[in-house]
Amino acid sequence: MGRNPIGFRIRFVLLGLVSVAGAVVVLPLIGSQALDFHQVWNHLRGTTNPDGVIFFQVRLPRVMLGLLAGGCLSLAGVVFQALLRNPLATPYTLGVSSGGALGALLAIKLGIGLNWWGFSTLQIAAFTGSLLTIALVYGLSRGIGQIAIHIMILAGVTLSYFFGALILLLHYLADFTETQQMIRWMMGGLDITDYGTILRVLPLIAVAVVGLGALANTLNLLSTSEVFALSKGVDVPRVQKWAFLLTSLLTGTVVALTGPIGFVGLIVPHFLRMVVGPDHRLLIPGSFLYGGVFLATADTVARTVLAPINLPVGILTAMLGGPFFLWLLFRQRKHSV
Amino acid sequence: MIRLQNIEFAYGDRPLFRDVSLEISGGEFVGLIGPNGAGKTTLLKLMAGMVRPHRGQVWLADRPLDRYRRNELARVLAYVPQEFSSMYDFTVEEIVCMGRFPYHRLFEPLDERDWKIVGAVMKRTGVQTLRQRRLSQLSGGEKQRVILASALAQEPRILLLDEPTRALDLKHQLQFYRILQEEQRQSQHTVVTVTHDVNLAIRFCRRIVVLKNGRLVADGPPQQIIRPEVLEAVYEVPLEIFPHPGDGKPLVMFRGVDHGP
Repeated sequence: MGRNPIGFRIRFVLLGLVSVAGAVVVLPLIGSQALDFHQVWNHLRGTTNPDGVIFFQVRLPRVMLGLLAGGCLSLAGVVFQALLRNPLATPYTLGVSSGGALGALLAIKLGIGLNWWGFSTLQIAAFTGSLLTIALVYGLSRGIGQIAIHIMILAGVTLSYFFGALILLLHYLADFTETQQMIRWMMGGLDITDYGTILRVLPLIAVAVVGLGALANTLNLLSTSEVFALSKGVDVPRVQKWAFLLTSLLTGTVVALTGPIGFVGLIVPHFLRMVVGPDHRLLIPGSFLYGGVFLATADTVARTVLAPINLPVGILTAMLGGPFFLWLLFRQRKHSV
Repeated sequence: MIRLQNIEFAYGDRPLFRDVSLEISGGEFVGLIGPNGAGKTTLLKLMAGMVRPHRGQVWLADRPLDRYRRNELARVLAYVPQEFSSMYDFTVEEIVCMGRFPYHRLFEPLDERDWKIVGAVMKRTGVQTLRQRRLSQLSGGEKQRVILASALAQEPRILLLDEPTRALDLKHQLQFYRILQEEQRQSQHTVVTVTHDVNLAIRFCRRIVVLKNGRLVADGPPQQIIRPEVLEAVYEVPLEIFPHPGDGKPLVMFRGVDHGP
């Protein structure tokens, strides 16, 4: 009849915190070569050993990136679904990932070699591509003050197709090595070998997450209807602007670091809404925590199932995500009848 | 309380209002009636600050409406839209609590006073037993009362309602307007309601404003302006008006229906 009791819902979100901690300790132990926890513990206390090195230098950065990227994508999904009032919206609905991909592929094709602040050319190009795209979509759908949501979705989808064509063109023009590089980027993955990149993007992500968290109540109102939000005192155009900006920063950053990893931003928010309901005060922290655990776990599976091959996690999330999501939809339909 | 001063408004190149002025004082219960496309909803939206006039000014308590911040406005004025539907299934309690939004900073949770108000308005609108129900599980009448409760939770001085009982049956129409009437008597709210039901307006409103094609055709107490020549010109159908055998107020009925062969 009603929902899960409020106490349960809060505990569930807190459990997400425990899961993150668990993921940090457990996931790096798993892999093509299983690590011994005692060895890792000894390594931490000063006795250097191979298990410890693999744990801290190879696998932990990867798990951290997974936690961060998954968290950001799920949170971005939650916010986009509220802003666009469409539960099927994803962080990529407005063309952010295609724009990022176009940027990255252009950089590959043109062979530009930049290095700013330890970010690679690909990362910078993808980030720029993502943000330019969202700026374009936002600009197109902004009439006189108010944003027309349906135009925004249409503009985003259209741009995605347009960029898709340009991406194909780049593929066609590319030579064998370039193509290889392009395809690998498009698959999305968490290949990372140091903490530097993570640490450098952390402040940006923290600001965006806290900023969106502060908008939780406002997003509750905005996710019902624009008129309702206005009538309850929400400055709708201003909130939309900030929420789009912060969410795009999150998505752009993640796409730049990992490539387009699909379905996380759709499945995790959907799953959370089933458990904790539509209240963004729970959805925002919940999606960030569980999204991270989901992606980090998926990546651990991806690099284990076909070991020693490291399967790109983007392939796995799409392969798991599609059927899982269909199952959710059918289950929900059966219940509502 | 609310004053529309020489309002001009158009949808694209289709002008709706040319120089419309209207003043509504504190504590009035006003019904806005008129045929489809007359501009009732737009007039209400202008009063609510949902749309801006192209020329002219809307005044709210001696201050132009566009000088109010959104949350400031929501503490004075509550707007009940024509239809409310939400993609996401909030509970009754959550929707009513949203009425307290204009009183809080971004992070601030509801305090004791908020919960007291939320409880009280739910009781007065008869939705307190539905607290934990989700919107999708409510009937039309229940839903409208929840939206009203949420509006009352704003503790407004002015209530603007856009056809609040359009989708309701007779019993629930009456129930809704009785609650509204009781609220208005208790707290001296100013109420402006748009309706298609002339007889309902006559029963509950103490002042009726008749609109047609963006012009105010008549304005006054129901007994004075509910006359055949006024309403026939507005609605373009032959009408019969006779006193209600019970309360003596005018009763409006269309005339000359051809029953066919």
